[in-house]
Amino acid sequence: MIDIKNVTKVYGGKLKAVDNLSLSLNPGEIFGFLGPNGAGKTTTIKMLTGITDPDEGEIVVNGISILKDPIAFKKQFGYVPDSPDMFLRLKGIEYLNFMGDIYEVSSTLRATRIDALAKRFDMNNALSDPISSYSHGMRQKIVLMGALIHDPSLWILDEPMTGLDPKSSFYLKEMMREHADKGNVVFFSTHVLEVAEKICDRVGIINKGKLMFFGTIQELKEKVSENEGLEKIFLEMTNDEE
Amino acid sequence: MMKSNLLPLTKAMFKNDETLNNLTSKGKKSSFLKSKWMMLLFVVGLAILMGFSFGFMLSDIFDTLASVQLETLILQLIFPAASMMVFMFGIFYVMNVFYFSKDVDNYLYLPVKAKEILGAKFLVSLIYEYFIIGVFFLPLLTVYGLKDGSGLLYYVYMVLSLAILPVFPLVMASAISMVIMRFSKRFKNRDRFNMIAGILSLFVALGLNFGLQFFAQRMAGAEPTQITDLSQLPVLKVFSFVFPSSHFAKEALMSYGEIHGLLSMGLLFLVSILAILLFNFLGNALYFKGVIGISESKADRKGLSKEDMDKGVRENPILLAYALKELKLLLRTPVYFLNCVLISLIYPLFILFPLFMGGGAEREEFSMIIESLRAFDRGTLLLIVLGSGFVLGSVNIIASSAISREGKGLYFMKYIPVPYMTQIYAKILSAFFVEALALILLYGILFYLFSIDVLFLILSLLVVFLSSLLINQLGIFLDITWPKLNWDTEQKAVKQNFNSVIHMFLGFGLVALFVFLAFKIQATLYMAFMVSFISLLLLTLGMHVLLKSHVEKRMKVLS
Repeated sequence: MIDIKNVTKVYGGKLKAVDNLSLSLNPGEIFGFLGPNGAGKTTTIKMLTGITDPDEGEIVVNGISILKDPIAFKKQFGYVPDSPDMFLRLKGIEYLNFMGDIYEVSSTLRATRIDALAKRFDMNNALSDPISSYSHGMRQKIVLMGALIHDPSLWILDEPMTGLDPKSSFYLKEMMREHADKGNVVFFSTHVLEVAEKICDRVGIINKGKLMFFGTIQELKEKVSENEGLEKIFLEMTNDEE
Repeated sequence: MMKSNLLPLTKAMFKNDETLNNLTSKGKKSSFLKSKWMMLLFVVGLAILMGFSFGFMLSDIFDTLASVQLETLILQLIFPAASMMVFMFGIFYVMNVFYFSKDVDNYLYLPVKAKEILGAKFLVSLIYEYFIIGVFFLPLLTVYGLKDGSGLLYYVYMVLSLAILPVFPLVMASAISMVIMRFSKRFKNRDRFNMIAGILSLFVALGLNFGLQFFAQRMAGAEPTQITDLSQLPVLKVFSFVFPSSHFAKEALMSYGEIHGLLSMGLLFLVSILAILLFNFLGNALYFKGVIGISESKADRKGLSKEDMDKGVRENPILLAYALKELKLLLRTPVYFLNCVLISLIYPLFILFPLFMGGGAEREEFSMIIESLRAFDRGTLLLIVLGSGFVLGSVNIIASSAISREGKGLYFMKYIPVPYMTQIYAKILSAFFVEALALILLYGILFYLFSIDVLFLILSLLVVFLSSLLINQLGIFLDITWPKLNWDTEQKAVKQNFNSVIHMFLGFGLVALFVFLAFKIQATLYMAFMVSFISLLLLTLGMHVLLKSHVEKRMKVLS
């Protein structure tokens, strides 16, 4: 489903933001991408979404390479960036409809999906208001709704839980599970270990551009003695003072 | 004890205030005007400049008026004008400093009194008013004093009265703003207020400009008795009633050597102190309740009806959907609306002004030009229309700021499954929507002046369309080469964008070329059309090819 093969991104000719990263995700998986600030999470997501080109390596989703057919590639995923402050002067419904046009979703399908998503996220009453009047969490939700309007098989979510209220956060996690169970993939980055522990089938830990660990939470736990929590492992793996 | 909080608060608010960014075209307070010495230098420099430019004019007027002993008319005009200006800017400042800055939350939890917050807000607005006073009225009154040979006391009175004068009109402006903001929900919308204020100030500036010309023409050949009538103008009487402070200030400076002058000065102080007491009372009663619920925009949280939903999900082709999105953002963002939309529509109107407003001589000159144009062949006219098409295209900065306006959100263009060239042409299309409106105005004028026929209309529209496409391609080309993406206020995307300036000059260059050709060749309509159509077609196609490879390259680099 997703194949990230030996991908490297160098900034300014020297700094390797991502260093020879390889990941392969299978249908039905929720993948949590963990790492401290500046570890290379966002750069990886930028390469995965076509915002930045990798210097080396290749990324393939559903058999389509981003280099060979970028437009078909970009139709495969729905992306929620970490900052939801987009198109603030559009109304919620206008933004969703714009995304519907961009991803060429028929208007009946659009209406059904908007309706269902709005109910789930409790956004019914806000759709006719400008996005600038939304709180951070509501902006997060509207961008999420826009990303899901074409029902993509791959979800790419950058820090999706930040700013969501507990109810929406719960529904999002539930939706992620449902989506994966239908044979799709959810790729998301997070700082919150507990979230990763609860819902991820597999996690990757990245530090200084290098993948330090890739496997299930169980495998991660086996790496250390029982009494140590996940936090401890994480800190050890991403420890900078060697 | 109270004073000790007021000044630090004022200082903190002033440093964080963004009003200047909203108001001036520079919006550079954060960098250039950061240090207060630079700011002071800037104001003093501007004042000296104004003093020189207006000083000569004033000194001429002084001489004319002095010959009939009416020089005090200048003071009678200056003080009401100062009060009016302070009042009008006051509304703008108070709205921004008191309400839209949204910083009051940061002060409420500090151990300061409510009236200290109010006082500090007032002082910040007052400081802004002093810029206006310092730049416009201080130089004017100084020149007046020099011409009049006034004594030292005149200058003492001048400085004192200018220092106190803004208080009264500013209190009036605050009172009106506070009442409105307390009781009306409609104005609690920063976008809407800035939009209305921007449009109004544009028209006030245009009106003032033409009004002054009109006034100057009348003054030139007027009799002294007619000039005397000016001091009896009802407007002035209304002003001295509405702003008694300007009346007292005027009286004080007119008879600074007499006891009447001193008395007027005293009354000016008294009125201003009363005004401050009124401000304090109104502020406590209205301000803190009114400042709650300020937002960038309105929100009803009403929900969508079935019809809204059906309308809301209407399908559009990608190109159109994208262009409409651009257009919505242009119309709803005040800075974009004023600089990209309104300006492009105002230019065709400029052609009309000499026609209706100009004096006899100008008017004759203008109609002579029109007559000579009528005499020319239609081919010449076509090239001239094409030239005006280029002007309309080049003053329209929608395309030449299209990439810059994306700012930090540029990455959106990169992750959506829409080819870059489609997005580029959607941006050009949005520019064309606005240009079409300007074209309708232009063609209205053409019909009025030249009674053009259908064939000419079609042929000229074809070449104008191509010229507009070309000029917009050029605009985008420039903007994607040197985009200004790293901005924090929208102002900077359109105002500090050098691409638009280059774009405008390129457009004007093309105009000059076509007008030159028009007069040089004197072609027939058919010939002029064929030559311009084919050359423009080749140019737009060439530009398309160039743009295509350039956009691919640039989008890889930009992020």
